This record gives sequence, C-alpha cells and structure tokens, in this order.
Amino acid sequence: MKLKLWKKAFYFLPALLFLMITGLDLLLFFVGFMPEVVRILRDFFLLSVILLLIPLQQLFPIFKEKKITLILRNIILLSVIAWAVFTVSTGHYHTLVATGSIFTKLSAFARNFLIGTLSAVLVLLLNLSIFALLKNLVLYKSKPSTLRNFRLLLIAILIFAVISSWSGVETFRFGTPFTATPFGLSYGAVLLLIFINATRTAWISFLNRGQKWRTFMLTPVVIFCSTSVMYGIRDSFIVEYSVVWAALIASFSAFLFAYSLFSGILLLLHLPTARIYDEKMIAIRSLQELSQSISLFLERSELMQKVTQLASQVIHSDFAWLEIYDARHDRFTLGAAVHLSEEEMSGLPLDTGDGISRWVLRNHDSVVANDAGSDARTAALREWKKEIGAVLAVEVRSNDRFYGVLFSANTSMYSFDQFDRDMLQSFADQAAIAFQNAHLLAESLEKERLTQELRIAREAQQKLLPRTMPRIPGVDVAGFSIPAQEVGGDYFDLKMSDDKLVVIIGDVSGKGTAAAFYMAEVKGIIDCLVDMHDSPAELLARANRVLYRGLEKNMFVTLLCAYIDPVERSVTFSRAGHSPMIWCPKGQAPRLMDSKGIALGLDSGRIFEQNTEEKCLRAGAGDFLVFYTDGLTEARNPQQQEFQEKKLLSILANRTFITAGELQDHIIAAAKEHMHIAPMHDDFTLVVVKFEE
Amino acid sequence: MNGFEVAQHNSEDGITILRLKGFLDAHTAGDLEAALQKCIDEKKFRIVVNFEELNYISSAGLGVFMGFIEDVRENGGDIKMTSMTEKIFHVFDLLGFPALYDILKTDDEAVERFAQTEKE
Repeated sequence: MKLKLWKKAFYFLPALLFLMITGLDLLLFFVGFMPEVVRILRDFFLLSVILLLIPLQQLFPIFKEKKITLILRNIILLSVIAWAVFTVSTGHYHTLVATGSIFTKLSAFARNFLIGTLSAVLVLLLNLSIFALLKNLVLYKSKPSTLRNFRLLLIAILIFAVISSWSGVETFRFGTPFTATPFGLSYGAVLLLIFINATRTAWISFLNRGQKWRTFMLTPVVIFCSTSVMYGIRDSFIVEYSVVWAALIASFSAFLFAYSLFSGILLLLHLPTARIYDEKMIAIRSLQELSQSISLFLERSELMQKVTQLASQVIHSDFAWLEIYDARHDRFTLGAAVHLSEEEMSGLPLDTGDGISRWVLRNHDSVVANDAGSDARTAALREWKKEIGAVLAVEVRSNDRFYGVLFSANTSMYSFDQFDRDMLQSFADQAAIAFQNAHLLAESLEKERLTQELRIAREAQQKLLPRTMPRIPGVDVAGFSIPAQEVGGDYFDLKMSDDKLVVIIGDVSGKGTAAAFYMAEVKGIIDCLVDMHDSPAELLARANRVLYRGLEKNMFVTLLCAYIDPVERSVTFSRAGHSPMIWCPKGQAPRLMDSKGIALGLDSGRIFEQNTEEKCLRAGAGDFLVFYTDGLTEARNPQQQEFQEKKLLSILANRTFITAGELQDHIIAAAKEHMHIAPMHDDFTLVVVKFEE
Repeated sequence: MNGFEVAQHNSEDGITILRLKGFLDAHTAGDLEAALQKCIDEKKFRIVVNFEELNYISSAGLGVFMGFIEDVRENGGDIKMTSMTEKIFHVFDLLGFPALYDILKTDDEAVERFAQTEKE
C-alpha cells in the first residue's frame, strides 16, 4: 500500500517539476533578464522532467501494443499531429503573440507562456511518444544487440541534449556534426546510432501484401512531417524556450525521418515479392491449421475433406481431390474433392492402369505434369476434363503405409513449380500423420469395444457357474473357477438328483472364446440329462453322443461326474478323460481315484461306452473329495515348472482341514504362491466336498 | 524356447514318418496340421508320428490328430504314434487316446503293424 502511494507520488513529480520551472520562468519574465547559468540550470531541470516521464509510458496501453499494423497507424497519426502542432505554433508564433491577433486581449506573458510553453510541451511529448512506438518496431524479432543499440541511441540523444545546452543556442543552431568539439562528436554519435537503429526493420516481412502497399504509400507523409520538424526546430521558438528540448525533438524527429526513409526503401524492395511471400504465409498457416485438425481427431471423412480443401488453398489450384488407396482390394477410391461437381466426381477416372495414382504407388514419387496434353499419364484425366492443363500429384504416406494420392490440377499449363510440389508434399506428409492418428484412434476404440464385449461375456459365463453352494445335510461343499482369459472352457456344477449330490467338473479343450461357447453347450446338455440318469457312466455316454455331433473335429471335452449319497456316504463316479478326483480318507493318505475313460468328442459312441468305467467308493465321516481341472496341476511358475499332482497330494497329506472352504482356500493359496508372478495359462477350477462328522 | 519342428521321412514301403520336436501347442499346431495335410494331399495315408523329441503337447496339439484321423482311416490308412516319453504318454492316456489310437514303442513296431493290417 505504501509502495503504491509512492508510485503515485512519483507520477506527479514531472508535473510538479514542470510547474516549478514555469514559476521560475514567470519570475524571470518580469525581471526581463536570464543569466546563462540560470538557463543551463533550467535546462537541466527540464531534462529531468523528460527522464521522469520515460517510466510513465507503462501507464498507457498504446505503448504496449504488439500488433504491427496498429503501431504503424499510431506512428503515422502522431507524426502528422506533431507536425501540425509544430507548424502552427512556430509558423504563427509571432502572429499569435503579436498585438492585434485574437489573443491580444491576453496579457503579454500569458501569450508567451501559454502558447509558447504549451506548444513546446506538446511537440516534445508527441515526439517522445513516437520514439517510444518506434522502439517497438526496432525491437521486433530483436537480437540481444538490438536492444543494446537502441539504449545506446537513447543515451547518445540525452548526452547530445546536455552538450547542446552547455554549448549554447548559437552552437546548436549552426553547429555541424563530426567536428572535434563535444557538440560535434555527440552530434555525430547520434547520427551514427540513428543510422544503425534505422536498419532494424524485421517487421516488414510480417505484413501481407496489402499492408505493405498501404504502409509504403504512407511513408512519404511521415518523411515529410519528420523533415519539417527536424529542419524547422533550429529556427523555432522552442530553441529559445529550451535548447535541451529542442535537441531532443530534433533527434527524435531525425530518427523518425531516417527510420521511415529506410522502411520506405525496404518496403519498395519487398513489394515485387510480396505476392509469393503471401502465398508462402498462407501455405504455412494452412499447414498449421492442418496440424491443429490432427490434434482434434477429426472423423476420417471430415479429415479427408479438410486435407483436400486446405491443399487446394495452399497452392491455389483450380481443382483438388484425394484418391484413397484400398490395400485389401488393391484399388483407389475418391476420398474428397473440392471445386468439382457431383457429376464430375462420379466421372473421375480412378485407377486407370497407366494413370498417375498407379505411377505414384509404383515409384514412391510425386508427379508434376505441367503439359498435361502431352503426358501419357494424364490422358485419362484429360478425357474426363478437357480443360486440365497441368496436374500435380503427391503421395500420402507415413511409416511405409500408403494412404493415397493428393491431386491438384489447374486449367493453365506450366502453373506448378518446385515450390508448389514441395509445399503439397509437406502438406501430404502432415495429412498422412493425421490419417495415421485417425487410424490408431479407430483401432483403440475397436479394442475398447471388444474389451467391453468380453467383459459382458465374462459376466454371462460366471452366471453359468453355481453362485451359491448348496446346503445339504451331511456334506459341506465348496467350488471355485477362474478363467485364464476373460472367458474360459472350465465348467463345474453341483446338482441334486434323488437325494444325491451330483458333482460335475469339466474342461473344454483350448481356452478363450471358442472354449467358452462349448462350455455353455456342455452345461446345457448336462442340465438336460442329469435328471434322467442315476448312473454317472450312462450320463457321460449320453452326453458324448450328443456332443460328438456338435463339437468341432479337433476339440474335445473332459468330464468327471460323481453321484454322492450324503447319508450312505457312498460315491459313484466316472471319469471321461478328466483328471481323476482325489479321495482323502480321514487320517489316511490321499488317493488318486483313477478309472478308465475317454474324453468326450473323441469317439462317436461305441468305443467310448466300452472304455468308460464306473467306480464306487464308500467314504467315512470327515473324508474329503477333491475335484480339479488341469489348470491347477499344470499351473506354471516363472521357471515354467508345473504345480503337479504330487504337490497337491502332499498338501492334502500333510495337513488336516476342518471345512471344505478351508481346504479349497489353502490349495488356491498354494497354487498362487507357486505361480508367483507368472501369468495364468489355463483356466482353473476346484471343487471340494467334505463328509460331515 | 517354444520352438517346434516336424521332420518328414518317407520309408520304402510307402509309410510316412513324421518326427516331432519341441513344443506342440496352440501356436505351433498349425505346423503339424500343414504337415499332415500335405500327407493327405499326396495320398500318403499310412502315417507314423514319432514323439521321441517332443517336450510338451497341449490340447490344441492333441486336437490336430483328431482332426485328421477320420479322413486318414476312411482312406484305408492310419496315424500311429510311437516313442512317447512317459510325460507325453500320460497326457494321451489320461484322455483315453490308447483306446482309439495305436500308441507303440518304436517306429519299427508301427511299420510292422501297418504290414499286418495290409495282410489281413
């Protein structure tokens, strides 16, 4: 807060100082005598006013303007105003001050002070503003030396002003530069630095053709205005008012004169190439626009339209179109066109064997056919559109992927040059990146969609498995199944049939989606058959006959079916190619319950039935039955070693378990520990039954 | 590491011997399929598959034989399997293949078996 107050006070300082000087002037006016010492001292204070004014610039947005056209407009405007004020006040000073004018009624000192002081202040402020604006132009695209040179100029001007004051009015009026006096030397230094700074005109390049013309036409105005002030100042009343100010105004307007003269010359030199320069600028802007379109991920057809349209802008072509290459069918199709009617578009000769697009595809090069009439490759195009005089075609390719050919055609012959070809090529390169991006995006969207589909499939498959364990007096049951991928071919079910618990566990060969479909089929078949059979071997035999017809030749299904009587504790089971179940009698070693059997789908019926045994066992209270798929025994660790039956049997032998769930969790944990960080490579299913005590 | 090779060898009595080597799984099953298809295209229906140097077989590998056996047998031929390691035989045995396929100790036994069927 305090600081701000200080700042505000600082802004009023020049005004305060200026008022003091005016007070002094008043005093001296009445005394009618001004000693040289007082004049110099007064000049010194007036210079301070200027120095204090310089930081004030920040307050006005006009000095911060970065747009060249606006800076130029302001400079031109201010130079005209400065000239007008100067001319009116100097040319008519004496008339205004002389008796008989409209100001006669004012007293003499008011005339002198109001008009003299006021116009001096105005002219100086205007010139100071112009100088500040010129700084923006000089520093456009600046190098570090540019700012240094400009500061040197300002310092030289200030020194020149001080020396002028010191040297006196006469020296200022009639002195010449580059003489061996302080005045001559500082004068020379100012001229030299004006010359150096005036050559900094980088901004000209960034004007378009129209702007260059307009600015060029207006430079004579500025040159005239600045010359008038520069030459008029020596004989003007301002020198009488203050030599320092006069020196500043002279220097500032000299710089304006030199700068406008140089700019005018350079503008004149730029004018013949302005049109080409403009075309280049449009091309660069179009390229930029295309780059932006890429990041917007336009839809493919939109992208093609945009590319073609911008391409036609870039090289001013009468017609432009994009032929897209379809690698799968080895043919070209029309992607987009500009300046062509629907009828013309449908008649466009795409993919003629000896045409340009084939040539581009074969040679990986662009085509410039400036004399379309005598070029064999453009014969088909000429037939389609007689007025075509020149054709330019470039390939659209990115990372070995050929997207197509970008065409540009003109009615006038010899209208394409090397620049056009390079431009269209770099444009096509950008376009290729855009196509690649669009392609990648489409791919990732497709992937996303498939992931979503598989997630739904997984949920659907999970619903085919028992979600809650049946509560049956006499037995405790736990079941678990997890696919290696989103969906899998493992299957288990727990059903009740005539007071018996039927446990079915199975595995469709292979994994993933194909296996998942057959798993659903197996479940459907078993669901239908389970109520009609009370023998597991019969159930499997029937299921085999049904499945064999529907299954692919190279696929098979392993199944194990057990009918468990919870009261009698008897188990009748049959194994169709599946890993055998393990029986853990209480207090005894676990046993693999092997039996003869063939997987479903291998044989149409007879051999299957002859070879599939049915066995029976009588369990005791506290016994466990363990059913599993080979996803458990073949689970691999990072060293590719399998979990194996042996390990499973040793787990079962070395520990006693209380519930089916506890045993199941323990096996799952052991399998996970074994696999460590290795990926699951097969579906994994486990069912545990415990005869309660 | 998971490479797979099939070496074809034609014996004098018109029997084709395929020697399998490496890992036969879903990724390599195509190679065996191609080899068997070639035999059928060339009307060589008496085929012996030697498993001596096969380290691993997955269900996709097993499926390859099932896909061709019908075709081969209908044409009066057979696919006989020989020289399985214990581990590989266990896989075939668990699934009940021995009831449906001739699984023999050596190539000679297989050739002999073909000769016997011929006589009958």
